Amino acid sequence: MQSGMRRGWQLTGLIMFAICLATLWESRNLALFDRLGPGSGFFPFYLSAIGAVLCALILFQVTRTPVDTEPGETIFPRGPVAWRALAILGSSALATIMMDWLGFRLGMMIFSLILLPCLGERRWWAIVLFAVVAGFGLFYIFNNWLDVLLPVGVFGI
Amino acid sequence: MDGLEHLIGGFIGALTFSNLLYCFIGCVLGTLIGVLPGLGPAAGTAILIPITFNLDATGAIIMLCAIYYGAMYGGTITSVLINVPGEAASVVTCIDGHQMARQGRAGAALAIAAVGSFIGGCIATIALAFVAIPLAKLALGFGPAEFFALMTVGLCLVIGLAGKNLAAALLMTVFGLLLAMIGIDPVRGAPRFTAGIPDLFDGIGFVPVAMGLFGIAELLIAVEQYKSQVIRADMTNLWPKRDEIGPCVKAILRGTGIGFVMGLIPGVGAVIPTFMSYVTEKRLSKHPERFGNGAIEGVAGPETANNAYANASMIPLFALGVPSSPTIAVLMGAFIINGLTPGPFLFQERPELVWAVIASFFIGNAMLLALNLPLVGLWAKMLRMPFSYLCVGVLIFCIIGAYSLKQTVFDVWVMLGFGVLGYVLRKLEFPLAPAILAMILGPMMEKSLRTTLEISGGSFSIFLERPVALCLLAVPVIVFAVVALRPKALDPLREADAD
Repeated sequence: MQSGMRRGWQLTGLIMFAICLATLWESRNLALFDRLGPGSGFFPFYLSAIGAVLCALILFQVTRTPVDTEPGETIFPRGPVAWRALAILGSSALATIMMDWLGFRLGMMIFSLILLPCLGERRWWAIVLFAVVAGFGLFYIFNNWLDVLLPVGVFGI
Repeated sequence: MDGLEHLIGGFIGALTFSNLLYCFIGCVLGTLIGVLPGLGPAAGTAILIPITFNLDATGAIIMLCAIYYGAMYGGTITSVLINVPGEAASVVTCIDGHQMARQGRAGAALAIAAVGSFIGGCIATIALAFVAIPLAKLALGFGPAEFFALMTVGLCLVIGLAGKNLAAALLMTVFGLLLAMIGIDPVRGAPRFTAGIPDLFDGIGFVPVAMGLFGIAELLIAVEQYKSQVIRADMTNLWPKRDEIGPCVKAILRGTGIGFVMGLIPGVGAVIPTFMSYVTEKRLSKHPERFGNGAIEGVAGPETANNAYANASMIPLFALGVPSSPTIAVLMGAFIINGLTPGPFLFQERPELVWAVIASFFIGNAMLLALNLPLVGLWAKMLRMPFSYLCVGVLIFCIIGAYSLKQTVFDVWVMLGFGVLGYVLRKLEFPLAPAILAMILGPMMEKSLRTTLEISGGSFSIFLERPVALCLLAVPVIVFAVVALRPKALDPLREADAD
């Protein structure tokens, strides 16, 4: 196992362990059994307990596994690829905020105008055309043809 | 003959103009998803759920099923033409399909794949029509204990075959089940793990989670791998040579059998039947040295197995309400969104829907055959679409899909969060299939278990007193015992899946 992979498994195991402990604690506040039978806390309590044991087992297994001495490929990308992945996530988060505030049409237009150049597109006319179709075209199709209501923003667009 | 009568009735329902149109649209969209690398059937089906919101339940399910088997076919095109599988099940087609394309026989490879897929899909659907009714009738006699045991079997088979680390697969299952616990308790009505957030009172939506874990995560992985491809392929001659017809027929029939049987077993996944078919053909061939150098049976068998599997995997869903793969779990989610619960009761409550959907499989397979052979050049051109546009388009569809379910931005955040989580977990090689299956089965499993324990007054011995439940629960015990005691016993299947 590569050292990066081991660290990743250890971190995941620890986070999952914390989640299981939190749900175990929360389940104690719910009834495990009531007069009708198993209560709301019954299933999550035992699941969390099993989950915590599994996390401990994984942490134990991973920590005992020898680490490869030869350097291998990195697990997560670096350089331009990492920036592209971050651009996708960042612009999607921004689009979600803008969609709530400016509405779907303007939100998706701005989203396309930001993300397409980040992904390497340079033809400005193609970017603008795509952004208009993605914002206004899809809104029209979903709202009018498919009856899927999409958000309208502060400007009424 | 019961199945045949119902099937004829199903054709009457499926052959309406609107349902034919939905089936056609589903086949086109599915093929497109299969063609475009970076979008698998699970992600594609989840992303396209919102376009079915305004359709009647029959039309919506027909379209989503067509997307599924359309995607299974579409993956073949890229495997043959550019040696890049459009979806995981087409990996094995690259071996001989691409070699055939390099020898100027891309047309013949795609044609035999289409014919094989059609035959495999149709035979599996006929079997579905005949097997589903007795299976559903059997399941009608099940009580909550048997249903709990059945769902446990489905989940445990997925866990057993999910990856090399059993503990990780089990942990992902627990994680999926815990996600399903968020929201109002379905039995007592108490809020659980909501942290007082009103958006969580309805629970975490299955569709945003599936879109995140499969759609967004696959897109982030595709960013690392995507290269634009140059396609040069000869499509003039579509038919195999005369001496290839006999071996192809045999390969198609064997592929159908393998795909059908594998489709009945939850957790097997679409990759395993294709590899099994390939290995079988190679072993039975008089000239195994041709495999890897453009043997047409190496395309015919696996492609048939792939489509037979896709159709047969509907049997556990329709008859028992147990999804056997993440894509089928997404389809199950679509059933639930449309107010339907897949399983034996669906055959009683909505027989017209069930049989129309089953009949639509024949129509969809015929449509795919008619669509794909003449239009294969057009699909190949789709591969020239710049990744930047594909990526932005898919993201916008994901955002629409997550938002439109409950008209709340909260679900879009959930999707993005699970997208990041799915990406990280896939990079670390944690299996995601058990999590998504556990999430969809979680509420039903909990309800069945609690009802069973209410009947028994809290005693687990009820599972020992009910022979069907006991036999079913023995299956996961055996699977886990095999995995724990002979960890290499399931390696061939897992390696096929991992490849």
